Amino acid sequence: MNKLKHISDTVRETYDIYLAGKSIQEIAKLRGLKETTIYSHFEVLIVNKLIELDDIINSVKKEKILAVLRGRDFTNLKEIKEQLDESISYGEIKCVLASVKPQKQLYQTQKATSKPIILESENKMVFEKLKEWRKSIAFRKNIPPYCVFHDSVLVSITNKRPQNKKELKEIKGMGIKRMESYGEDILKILNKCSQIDRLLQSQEIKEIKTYDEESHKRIKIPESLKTEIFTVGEITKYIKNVLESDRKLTNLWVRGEVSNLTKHTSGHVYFKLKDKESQIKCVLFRGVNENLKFNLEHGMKIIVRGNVEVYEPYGGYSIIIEEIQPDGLGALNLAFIQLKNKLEKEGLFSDEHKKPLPKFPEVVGIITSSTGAAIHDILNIIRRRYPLVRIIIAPTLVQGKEAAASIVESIKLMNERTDIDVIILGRGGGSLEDLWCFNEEIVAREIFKSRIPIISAVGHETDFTLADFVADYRAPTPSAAAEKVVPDIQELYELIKNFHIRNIQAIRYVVESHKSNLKQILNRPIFNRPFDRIYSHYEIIKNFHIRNIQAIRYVVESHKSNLKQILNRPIFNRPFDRIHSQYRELDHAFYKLQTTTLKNTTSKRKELEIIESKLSALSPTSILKRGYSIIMKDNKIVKRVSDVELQDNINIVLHEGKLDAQVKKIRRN
Amino acid sequence: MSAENISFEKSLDELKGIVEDLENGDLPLAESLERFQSGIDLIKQCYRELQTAELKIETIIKKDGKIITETLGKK
Repeated sequence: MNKLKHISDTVRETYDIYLAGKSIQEIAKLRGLKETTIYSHFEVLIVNKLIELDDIINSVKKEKILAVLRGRDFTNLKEIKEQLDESISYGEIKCVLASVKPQKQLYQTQKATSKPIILESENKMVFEKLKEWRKSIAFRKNIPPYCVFHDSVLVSITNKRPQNKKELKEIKGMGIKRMESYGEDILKILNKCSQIDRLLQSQEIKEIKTYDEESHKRIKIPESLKTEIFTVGEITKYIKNVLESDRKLTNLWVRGEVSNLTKHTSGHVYFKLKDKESQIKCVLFRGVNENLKFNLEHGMKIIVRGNVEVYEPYGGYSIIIEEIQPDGLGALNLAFIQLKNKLEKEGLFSDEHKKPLPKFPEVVGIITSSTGAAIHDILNIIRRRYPLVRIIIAPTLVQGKEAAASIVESIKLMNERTDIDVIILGRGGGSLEDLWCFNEEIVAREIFKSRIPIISAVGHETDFTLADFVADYRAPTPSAAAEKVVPDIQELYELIKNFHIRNIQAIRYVVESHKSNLKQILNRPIFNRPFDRIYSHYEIIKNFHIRNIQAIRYVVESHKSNLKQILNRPIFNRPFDRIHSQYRELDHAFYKLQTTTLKNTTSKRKELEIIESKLSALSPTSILKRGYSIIMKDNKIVKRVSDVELQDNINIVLHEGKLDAQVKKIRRN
Repeated sequence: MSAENISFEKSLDELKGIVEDLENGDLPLAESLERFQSGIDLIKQCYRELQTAELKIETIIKKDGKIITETLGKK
């Protein structure tokens, strides 16, 4: 198991899987890493003698590699690889190299290089140291360690080992601010580590230098040395654990005198608490210092409460202070603290009970001695600042045995009145004993009960009494109380002046804005061109009028035109045309009739003539002329022989007369 | 309410109210002017009060269960 201590977790994981019987290829696959990486793990395992070379490389390959290695010295793996055939990988060469280191060392010791030799474990030590230191800083500053420095920065520092500020500055991630805050610490740590280096080297440790692809340099430390040496960090850490787990050293009270007081700009205060025999470093962090009711001074006798802590970077122990009480009052002070804690627990000091002070009080009550300097100061200041108020003084004993009762009485008296707006309770400076009445429980409780807000103003600025804690407001001195209780008349003048200006500006603005509104209204068209509207109406009416006229005109015109059209018709235009035309027609007809008739008569006459002539040709006379005769019997033409009988009288018609004859014979044909 | 009886603080408060009202500009003109005038009056009054103010001092003591008030002159 001891061997496993010196290997990293990732190598250990590889080793575990290897032990489970997996091959290199399987391991690489299982872990999602490259085979070369697994080989480098094996290299470490071989160096640490956790596995045998023969277990992972077959003897043929091993012999081949060894044969090459025996031949000559090599400065890098590549040269070796070039002498071998393809089947042999870098990983295998590295493993063989790892296994033969002890032997190789024999060859190479004479040729020790001039280069500084850096031990792997030593690098680790530096890194661990830096980490320890970072942790302590982070703890003190209450921030996570990586906010102090990131791991990568520590690794860079570890690898580069800067010797001075300039070299340190060049490291990535340092920055000016970190350089200032931590530069010296880091260089100190590195310096210490270098010293240890030299120590180790003087032990004449034999080491081998090997080169590999990544140029990692490593060496082994003999087992014997490892088990015996603590690092400074380790031992300091151990001491820290011992001291800080001791119950007596936590939440302890220590009495002593302040010396070597250093107030750091950061607000932290460092000093030594000492007595005749010894001294102890004390650290007062800003947060605690700010809550301190008094200023820490050199030579001051104090009682501190806190915890002993070891600050690793410097290897020193100190008290981290949580509370400081001035020492010297002894039992009285203790009583004060006890009473204070009691009242605090009851909530008498809590802010929720603090009554607000009136801004412009009309009546101010003052509880103090009527003869002391305090009343004088208060009255002077109020008179100067704000003479508008009425002051009511309750002369009170503020020192001595009866003072507390007297103060209580006065607070009650003031509270019986209804006109008092605020009370100043105080007295001028004096010894702690003089001021003691303001630490009495009855006073504190009466202040708490008071309906009227109370300003406490006891002694000097450095004096703190219970009255101060209970009061609604703590003024460091009576004068300060007087300044707090009333406003300043000069400020009031300013205030009123300011109101005056604002008042005028505001009314001016109001008037101006009304003016501008009015102007805007007057600019509206109705005021600007009041007749526009009327005009526009007028226009409309005019328009209607025009349209009306136009319309009626159109109607008339259209009727006119209709009429004209009608009148234009021929019947109206030339009414006799028709008669004339009928006349004409009639004439025409008459003419036609005439001509036709004439024509007809002529033709008929001609026809008649023709017929007459024809007729005349045909007439019996004409025939008679030509010798023919007509026999007639009883005026009837005898056409046949049979039409007459013998002896009948007959008439013979000749051309120029008639012959009467008698039929004497009938002859028939 | 007589102006003299109003406390200085109330005067200031009122003054503040007047100025703020005016500055808001929501008031009708007549009221604005009225407020402005009372603002001016208040300012004058405040000035007068500050200029003429004189610290009044009294003492009270309880003697035999009785409260005795005594006015002091200028100190």
